[in-house]
Amino acid sequence: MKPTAFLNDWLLRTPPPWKIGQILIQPGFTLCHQGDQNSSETLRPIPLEKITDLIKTTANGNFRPLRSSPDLPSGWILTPLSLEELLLALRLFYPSAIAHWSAWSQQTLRITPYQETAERQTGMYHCTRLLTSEQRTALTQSVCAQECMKKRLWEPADPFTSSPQEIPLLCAEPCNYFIPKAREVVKSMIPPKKTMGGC
Amino acid sequence: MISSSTSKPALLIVGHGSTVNADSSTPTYDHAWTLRKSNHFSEVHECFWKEEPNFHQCLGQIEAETIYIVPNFISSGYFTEQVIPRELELEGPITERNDQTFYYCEPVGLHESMTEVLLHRAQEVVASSGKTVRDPQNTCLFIFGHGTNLNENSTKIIEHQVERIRSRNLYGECQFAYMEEPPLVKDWKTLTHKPEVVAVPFFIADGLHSFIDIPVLLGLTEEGQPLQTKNPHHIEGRDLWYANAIGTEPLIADLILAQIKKFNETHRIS
Ligand code: SF4
Repeated sequence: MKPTAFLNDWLLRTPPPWKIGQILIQPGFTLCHQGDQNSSETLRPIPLEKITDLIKTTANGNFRPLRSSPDLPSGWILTPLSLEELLLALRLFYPSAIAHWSAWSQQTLRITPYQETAERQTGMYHCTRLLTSEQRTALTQSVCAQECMKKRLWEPADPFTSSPQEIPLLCAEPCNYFIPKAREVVKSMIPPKKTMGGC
Repeated sequence: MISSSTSKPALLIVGHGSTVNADSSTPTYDHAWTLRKSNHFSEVHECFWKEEPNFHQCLGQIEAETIYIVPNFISSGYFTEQVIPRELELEGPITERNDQTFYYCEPVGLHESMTEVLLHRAQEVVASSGKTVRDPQNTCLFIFGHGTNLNENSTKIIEHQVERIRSRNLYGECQFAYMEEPPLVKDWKTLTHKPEVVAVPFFIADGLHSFIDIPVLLGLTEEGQPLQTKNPHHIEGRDLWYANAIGTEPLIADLILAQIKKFNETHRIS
């Protein structure tokens, strides 16, 4: 089943309201920040096009390089949305989330281990393959656990059980925010003046 | 115009993005919105090297059978020739996999119509200042690039575009200059003696280079200071108009369509 059909099917058989990341989905469809669920009267209606501005910065104006970081600004509402618009909105807020969840539920999600992603890197990221498993675990604790709401499916994986009314944010592969951090760790291990593995 | 199958194809625009700069992905998102409204495609997606969804993870979101992939890059090189094919698992210009066909088009910057986009931007930066150039034949149009050996192709494209603009005789002079190799942007005052100068940075987004580094090299602001003055900048008796990065030009959405048309013609897809 493709992501649109999968989402539609799930919405039909799951009682509302629904949740994904920091967002609340209500029938209609209406989207708002979960922190705003009791103040819908005062929320600023925004068109779909504004999502791309909204996702880029925190309420303080700081850049959000990770779309799944737990600092999505609040105060807005999107309504009414068709199923296609809902899917597009969710794709912009949480890229790949619906597709990953749909594939994971149908046991077709490809999970890519760290080493495979690192082996694929070329150029300045070539050296990320030298990250040890201890360093990798430490990095998942300092980066993923601190800055990201996704549940990691690659090792070391996060304990994860899906809850009935919530669409999970799943991480199927080390992201391009994680890989440069891995490079920094590897680089810090290399004595100055030596180059290793393209670092 | 676009599809070979009965249902509409999908479009995937591939951008660079950034882990530090919020403006880097803006043009790719903007062109995607424009093309969503065009009704040519059943779905319009974007993916980024440095942001989400990344190249490798984005494909699972696309439901159409036919997918056009257009890199929103100003030139071919490491990304378009190595990284994008590798991450999207492309086998060449046409890849068939699991009931889907992927058409990998050339990057937007390579299309011949980029000349029109550059001329439009040059015209528009002057018009939006509420002024006009007094005499186009006494005006120099500069195209600025980064210019390192890292991506030799981008300098080739800039020089090719400058040749094309020169052949039209719309401006008294058209020149290229680079941040990091001669002819240098910082030498613009001696590279041209024309009293009026229009400069267009050949970058895909308004990032550090076009927003901060080049204005410093032009002498419009000091290191670490944002650009305060407006177009035209009056410098030593001359007027200088400095445009936003070419990639932010809305006409780039048309170049994306033009690259798809060119792909269809080249590969005889009707
Ligand atoms: S690797 Fe996955 S879990 Fe870790 S920060 Fe990136 S997206 Fe989040």
